[in-house]
Amino acid sequence: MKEVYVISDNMITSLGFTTLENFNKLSDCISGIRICQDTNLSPTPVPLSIIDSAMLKNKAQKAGIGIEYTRLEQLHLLSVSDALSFTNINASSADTLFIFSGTKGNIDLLEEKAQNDFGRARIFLWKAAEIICSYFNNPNRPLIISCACISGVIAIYVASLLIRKGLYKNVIVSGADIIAEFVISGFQSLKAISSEPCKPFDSKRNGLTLGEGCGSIILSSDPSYCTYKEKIIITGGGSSNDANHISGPSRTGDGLFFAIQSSLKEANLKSCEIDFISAHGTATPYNDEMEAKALVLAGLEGIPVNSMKGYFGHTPGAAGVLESIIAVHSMNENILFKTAGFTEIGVPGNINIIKETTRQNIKICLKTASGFGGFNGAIILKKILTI
Amino acid sequence: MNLVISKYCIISEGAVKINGEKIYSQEKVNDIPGFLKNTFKQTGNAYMKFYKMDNLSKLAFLASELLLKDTDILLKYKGNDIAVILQNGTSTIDIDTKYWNTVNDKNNYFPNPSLFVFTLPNIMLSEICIKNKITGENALFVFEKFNPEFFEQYINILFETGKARCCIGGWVDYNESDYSAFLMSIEEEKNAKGYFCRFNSEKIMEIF
Repeated sequence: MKEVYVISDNMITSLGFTTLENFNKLSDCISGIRICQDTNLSPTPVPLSIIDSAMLKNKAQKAGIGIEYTRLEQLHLLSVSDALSFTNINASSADTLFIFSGTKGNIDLLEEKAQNDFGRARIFLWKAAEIICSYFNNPNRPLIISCACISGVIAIYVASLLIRKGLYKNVIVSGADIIAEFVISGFQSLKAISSEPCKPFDSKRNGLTLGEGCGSIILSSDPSYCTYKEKIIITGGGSSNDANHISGPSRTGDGLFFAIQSSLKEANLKSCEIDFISAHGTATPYNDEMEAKALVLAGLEGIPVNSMKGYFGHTPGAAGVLESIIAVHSMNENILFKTAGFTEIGVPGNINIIKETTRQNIKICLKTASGFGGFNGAIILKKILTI
Repeated sequence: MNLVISKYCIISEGAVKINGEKIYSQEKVNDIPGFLKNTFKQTGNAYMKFYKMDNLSKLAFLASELLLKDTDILLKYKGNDIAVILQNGTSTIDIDTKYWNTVNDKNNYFPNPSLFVFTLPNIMLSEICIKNKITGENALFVFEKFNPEFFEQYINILFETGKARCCIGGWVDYNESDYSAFLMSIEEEKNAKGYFCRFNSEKIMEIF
């Protein structure tokens, strides 16, 4: 059975265009969430984590990525290019597969006037994926995973299954979602958006903060491509459905518990061996409560947990990839980032939400995600000792 | 591991076929939502949540009900052991357009939450899971067209790794000009009570 090594990555959020920029901002406890007054996005002011458009344009231009690519495609192209720049992995080779994760793709093209520039088909996820793959001259038909907010975790999980089975040597996972009026209005209509920057797991949390972002993570069965200090593998994963409600999380946490259980089983690990949990933590009252209950069911009480949502918001289809990238770097640097926005515990159980950024040796990390449709996903990252 | 397609259901072009046999059809379907509703009524199913679903979920749900009807799948396997793995082409374009109409017109701005919740293609899997208490592996892949080769690879992995003992899967797509659902139940030969054919991409191509 082949191991699945994490090779390289890039992340683009409101905090920066490289993982290093993002990591440095996190180390300084800086959040990218700002109150947005743009009435094209929302009739009322709303906190958002937005990527600077002028800067994106500039970066794309410098990289020779023209205006024939949409905002979302430019993010993918910049992100994958940067992740590839650290390795010798050949993106155009037949043993390299692209997996995209996302929910709404080029949703900004739903407006007819925007469609005129790009054509109607461009709104479909497969079309955008095809365009990105042809930029990198990749010969394979890409996979696209659209499982709401767990898409990114599932994309990494599926990649690990395909590599372990030996179907591909390398997989480039790229997840992205952009902010658009479509998405903001929808979450507002569900009364899920907080009027202040989100407060994951806090007693005063009252909703999520939306963000946009793109994360790319490269996985391979060949450890010689590794670009980090430490060798980290994806050693288990799982998905599940609550079978409870299409838009509300389970009241018991058993769905997420099943996904965690299945990832532990695949990794051949016990819950007490987990050093750190990178949770979903959207800061909606029900989601965070459900996650806490699932962690209790899984025997994970007391283990340090954080949520990244207070730094760069909830970036639906990108979240799982972005947060896994942060987990990989946390493991490399042995640093546990505090949960921005959190002050006082507001979930049941003895859940150890990280309050201050601390240094601690992290060998094994559990990354979880839960989303609309009662979907749950989990993966396990493990540092392996090298001589 | 010998995997088989124990049963399959196709809904397209105004007809419903089970294991290749036409069980219901309507001539000249101009109104696809009406066709789905009529077919659902015809089955005598009293699950009221059906009427709240968007067209894509209705199509997927209807196909799943016809697929599971008169089978022992839900008795034989635990909810955790059943995977639901679907592919789709145009995501939720039908409901996206309808939802967008409640937002786009600034003189009539009223974002509709009951439309918005269906603007994610994985919701159709949840409707199937909720009705049948299926809690196993779930995933939704988007391809321009149904990709039977990948479907075969992925389902094989789920069985080989012990992540699933049964799978309900296939292709469900709905947009303004076309719609089709092709759902199959996949089981290990030793667990299936009779079966339609072996599970491989060539067979899938033959029947779809």
